[in-house]
Amino acid sequence: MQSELREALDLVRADEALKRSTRQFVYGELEKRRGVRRGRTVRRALCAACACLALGLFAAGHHLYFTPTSVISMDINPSIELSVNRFDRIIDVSGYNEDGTQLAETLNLLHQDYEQAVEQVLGSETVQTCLAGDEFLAITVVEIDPQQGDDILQYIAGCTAGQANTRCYGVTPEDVEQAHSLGLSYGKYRAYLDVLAYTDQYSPQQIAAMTMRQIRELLQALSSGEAPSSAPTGGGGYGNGNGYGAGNGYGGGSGYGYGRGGAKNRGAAS
Amino acid sequence: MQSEQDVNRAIEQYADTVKRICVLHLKNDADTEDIFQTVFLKYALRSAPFESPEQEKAWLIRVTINACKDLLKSFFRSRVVSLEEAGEHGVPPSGTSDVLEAVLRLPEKYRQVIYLHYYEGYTAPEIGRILGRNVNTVYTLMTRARQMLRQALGGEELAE
Repeated sequence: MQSELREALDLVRADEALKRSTRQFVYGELEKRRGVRRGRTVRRALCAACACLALGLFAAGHHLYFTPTSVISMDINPSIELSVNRFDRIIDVSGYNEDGTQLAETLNLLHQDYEQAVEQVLGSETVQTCLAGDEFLAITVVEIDPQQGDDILQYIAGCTAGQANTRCYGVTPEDVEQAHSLGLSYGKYRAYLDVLAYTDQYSPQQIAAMTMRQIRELLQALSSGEAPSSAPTGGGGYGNGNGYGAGNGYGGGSGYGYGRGGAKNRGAAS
Repeated sequence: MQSEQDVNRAIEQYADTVKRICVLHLKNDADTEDIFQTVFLKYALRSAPFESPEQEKAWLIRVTINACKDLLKSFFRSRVVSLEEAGEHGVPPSGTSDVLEAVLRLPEKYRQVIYLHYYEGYTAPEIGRILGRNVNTVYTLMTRARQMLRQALGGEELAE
């Protein structure tokens, strides 16, 4: 009986047509899937390329946007520096002394056009108060991109044309490359270099502690030969004396005080 | 994925086995063709290599049985019966031997063990592995299937 079952089932065979249609179906499906896989591979490669391109564009855009091409250093008593990118936008605001840091914190200058930013700084209460107090404002433009630097300088010169106690300067990055390493803003470093042309007795720290008015007066004194070319000694320093002239003069261990009120009078330091 | 040569060889080598399992489960050629396509496509898409020809054959048998079961319990089939099938429901194809006819009249679970044991020569533990059933259950199914066949064939018994 088992052999009968075996013989009966042996007769059951797949015909050639069934095998052929199965073969055609399977090969067709395999081909379709290979096509889909190839398509997927191409799609994946395209996606990866697009992602790389987007990333590259983002990185390039980020680099272009956040690379400063000019720096505007505004020094009065507060020292503040505005980094400008190639799109004329402010990308960094740094204070270089306590007043400068406070001023930078009170103003919202990031990503603004440099013209608006300069107007905001000049119009700020701190700067207006200083200017009203006869302080001297020095605006120094570091021209990393000479063309843009020139444009900024012209704009600022136009803005401050009516101000007697304001000066604008253009410098190259090489001129002021050591400024930050000495703890000075670009503007004060430029002034420090001017002082250094007369005497090397003033340290960067001493210059940093002075207002632009004080530095300017020191320079005037040095150029006219009134001021000594030696640094203050002893317990002196920069006090709040009442101006040049009427005091005990230089030397003898006394320091120099550059007072806010006095115009050209040199007073002894306390 | 298997190569086209492997697929071709498998079709040549196992088409008859697949067809026999289809005959045990299904009643029409259209379903048989569906099962062929399903089984050999699965074979073609299988990425893991077979350790031996025995493993390959057992895999194909298991896949074919499962494909037949899936087809039988599919939503469409559970509600629709083809004209061809309606005419033949429960009746083996004409011209088949008495023994085969008796086997085809058995419930599905008995048909499977009878076929695997008496035609393919698998032992109960092997059948248990192929069907995913307990060995003792396979023994029980074989005993009952033999009893049912003996009854159907008037006392004649399948040799062990």
